[in-house]
Amino acid sequence: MEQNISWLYEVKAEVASESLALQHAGTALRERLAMFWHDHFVTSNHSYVLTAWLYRYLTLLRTHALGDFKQFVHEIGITPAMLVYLNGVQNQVGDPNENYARELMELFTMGIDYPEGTPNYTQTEIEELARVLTGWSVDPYDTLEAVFVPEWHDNGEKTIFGQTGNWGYDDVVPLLFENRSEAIAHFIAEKLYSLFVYEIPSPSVVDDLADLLLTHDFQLEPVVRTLLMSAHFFEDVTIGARIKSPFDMATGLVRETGFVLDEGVIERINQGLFALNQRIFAPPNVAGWPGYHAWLDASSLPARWAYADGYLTEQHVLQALALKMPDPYTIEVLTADLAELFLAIQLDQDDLDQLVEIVLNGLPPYEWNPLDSGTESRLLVLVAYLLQMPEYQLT
Amino acid sequence: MCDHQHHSHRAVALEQGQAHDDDHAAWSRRDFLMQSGLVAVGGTIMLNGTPVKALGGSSLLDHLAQLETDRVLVLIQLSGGNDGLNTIIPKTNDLYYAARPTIAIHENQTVYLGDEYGLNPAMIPLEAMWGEGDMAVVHSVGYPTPQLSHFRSTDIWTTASDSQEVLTTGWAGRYLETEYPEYATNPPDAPPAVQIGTSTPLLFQGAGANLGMTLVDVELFLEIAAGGTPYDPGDVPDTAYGDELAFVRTVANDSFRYLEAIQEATDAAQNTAAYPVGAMPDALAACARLIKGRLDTRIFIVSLGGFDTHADQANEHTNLLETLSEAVKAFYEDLSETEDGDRVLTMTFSEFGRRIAENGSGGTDHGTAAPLIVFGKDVNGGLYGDGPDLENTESGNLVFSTDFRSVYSTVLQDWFGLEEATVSSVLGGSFEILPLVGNPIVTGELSETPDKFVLAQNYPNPFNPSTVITYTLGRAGRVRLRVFDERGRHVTTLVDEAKAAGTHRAHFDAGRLPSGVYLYRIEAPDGALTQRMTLIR
Repeated sequence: MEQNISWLYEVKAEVASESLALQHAGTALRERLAMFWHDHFVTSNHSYVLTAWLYRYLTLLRTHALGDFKQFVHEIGITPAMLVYLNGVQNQVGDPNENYARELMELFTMGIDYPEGTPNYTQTEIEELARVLTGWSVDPYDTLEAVFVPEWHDNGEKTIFGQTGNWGYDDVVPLLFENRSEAIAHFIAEKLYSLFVYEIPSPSVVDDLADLLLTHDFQLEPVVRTLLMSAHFFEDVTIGARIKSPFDMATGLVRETGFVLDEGVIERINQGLFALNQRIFAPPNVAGWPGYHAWLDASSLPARWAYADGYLTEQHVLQALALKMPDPYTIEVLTADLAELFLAIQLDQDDLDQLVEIVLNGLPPYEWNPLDSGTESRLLVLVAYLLQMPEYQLT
Repeated sequence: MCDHQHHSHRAVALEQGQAHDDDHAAWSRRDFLMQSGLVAVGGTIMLNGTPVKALGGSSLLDHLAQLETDRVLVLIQLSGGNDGLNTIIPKTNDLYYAARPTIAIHENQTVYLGDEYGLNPAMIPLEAMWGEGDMAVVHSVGYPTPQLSHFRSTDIWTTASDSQEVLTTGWAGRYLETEYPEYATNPPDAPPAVQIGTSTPLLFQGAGANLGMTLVDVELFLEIAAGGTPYDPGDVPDTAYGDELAFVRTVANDSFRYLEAIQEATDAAQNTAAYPVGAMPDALAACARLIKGRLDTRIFIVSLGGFDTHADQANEHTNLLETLSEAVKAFYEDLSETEDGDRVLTMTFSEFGRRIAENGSGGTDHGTAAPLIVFGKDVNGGLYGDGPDLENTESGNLVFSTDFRSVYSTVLQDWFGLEEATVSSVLGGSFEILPLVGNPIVTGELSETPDKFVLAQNYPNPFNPSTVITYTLGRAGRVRLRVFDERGRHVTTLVDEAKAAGTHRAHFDAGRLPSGVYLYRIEAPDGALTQRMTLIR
């Protein structure tokens, strides 16, 4: 068991470092989406009886991050981590457990009443779907995969969305997507919109995205591509309107400051995410992290400042960062460049002037020399100040 | 550099060392209010240049009168859906045992709550509170057309909406808005509501603002929020970015705003009871400390998660109920040390109960009505409402017998002393009041004859180190209540704001002042009065 826990820890560290490394290597999008899908198809620590199950789950998130959403839904339901997390392994003929059936519809695909406010399913349909899902199990001593046990499956007739049959697992995706495709498309489109643009959806853009999902039979890649290349994505009204998650902030800080990734940094990120209440692979519940405004409150915001401050103080890389900027010798230019590096939105001249005064702290501007021994501590004051600006919490 | 007139956003003390910090320390909330346009001029409060009276009759002053209680409500959210039938066990009901062949709790294991019901044995720490009449159980609390989704049902419980209705404000937020009608423009010195740990975003959301403050770790908060000054949430671009920037700035301001009050309360009290291990007990201990330290906060909420017991629930549910019971027991022991137990009502709630019949996994699926437990020295202990009816069920689920809003109404009306009409408007309807509260605050028409202007003798007197000064105003208006030492030197100002006609109280904490005679003087529209009090260390 102890061995298992340490493996779990390593996989977590691996996620943080791989996420960062991949962001450099140009596969950042897939990695960001994998985190997004973790927050969507939630499973959690206690369901990873074998660390291998976490690895399988994570691999699924990455494989389908930009892939075929229908296939994704199909595979996620019978990945061991999910079968354990939402009690699929206990869902047997005669003894149905409706946990996964409910969340599959409510949280993973169509929502309770998307998009028109009329219910997408009834309690009876949840119970019927649970019966369809019966028969899957895992055996931690035998296999890394889920197994189907025919005698545990309910072979009776089930009625879902007005259709009756002796449905089995392969019928789940067709049943959902043939009868509720509009609702699913809207539900997923809105989630993608909130990931990339803003938590408050633009109904017309979400409608367009939903149409695209339907047109492409729930292939994610063309939809994400269209969204990211759309004029809407670059509109001033939506730029910089997303509130960073702790993961966004902690990994972003590493990227912004050009730190070399080593074990110490990964350890620091893991500790930071724990303190900032976003434990990767341990979302608070099946709905994932509440996100948006729930990320920031009167204690978590100061905790972010403390994290950033402690991180920068430890790392001693700001002088090196400055020397990589286009003109480190002109303090006004350097300050503006650093502000641009850390903040999503350009500061006005008053703010920049104020920042220059902060970094100079009485030193005449012409005496600024980034090679001075005091540069690191001067820049620490400046950058810590920048990171405490409310602007820094937005992306 | 740091020109207070022009630079709207400054961060915490990283700028220019000690002198700058001192400058900012002197830049108080009052200055902030002056800048934001809210200033008391003579006897009239001005809100952005408009006399408050013009904003809606005398409602502001009426509402101020309602703050005359130091009663506190503590909510314990049992999140995930607590299995009510295995919490308050219908120990003589054969249907219960038939529906739950493997997880039913046998009669002889239960803690006696009368002939028909027993407590889960894990809740034995509560036996003494039950025996002393400090614990009430309301049976089968729920609402019509129950929702079985965690998230919808949690929203319903926190917003007090109907089953099909979606509200964007919380019942506690709406209540607190009646108590703090000028919250957005003139926030109080202490947060009206505090949640410790996990967040329940809608609960304290009012129409104009969220009146709750979240504290994950009180000590950490105090350490890192020290030395902050306000940002301007008004000066932002008219874009989504601007909206969110305003939000973050407001959060930053909140974290500075209540620092002083939370620091004072934390310094003034210690926990003196042994709490069990865990995040929820820690949170409850933090509540106790803030309450004992007399933080002027009406509502606290803490959360205990893990009640979604779909499988193998026996051990899990036992552990949860044990944690809950030990924590509540410690909480009241802690509060009783300072007699604060008398002014704290604690109530559990959960989004739903669970299915009557156990499922095939030794667990229970999502259900409907469930009992709710209320604790407090001032509670009329006992069982309330009709017990669970296992015969007349709906799709295998219990039919509720008491509407959850009935419990909320009772708390608002009898515990907080809100007028009936206001309770109805907060909860969107009129619900039965349960005789749960031992000493309900009786509300009625405000007296037509004006009160006499009185500055009463402080109590206790002599005192060490804190005391309460009570005064009565015949006329509403600006009140200043100040304390001087024997030689007439100003020591502190206790009140400097508009107050309604009627009786008010002010707390005075002498802190580190030396023993001696002190004077306190009130200036109000009725005139001025002075009294003496004695501090003996």
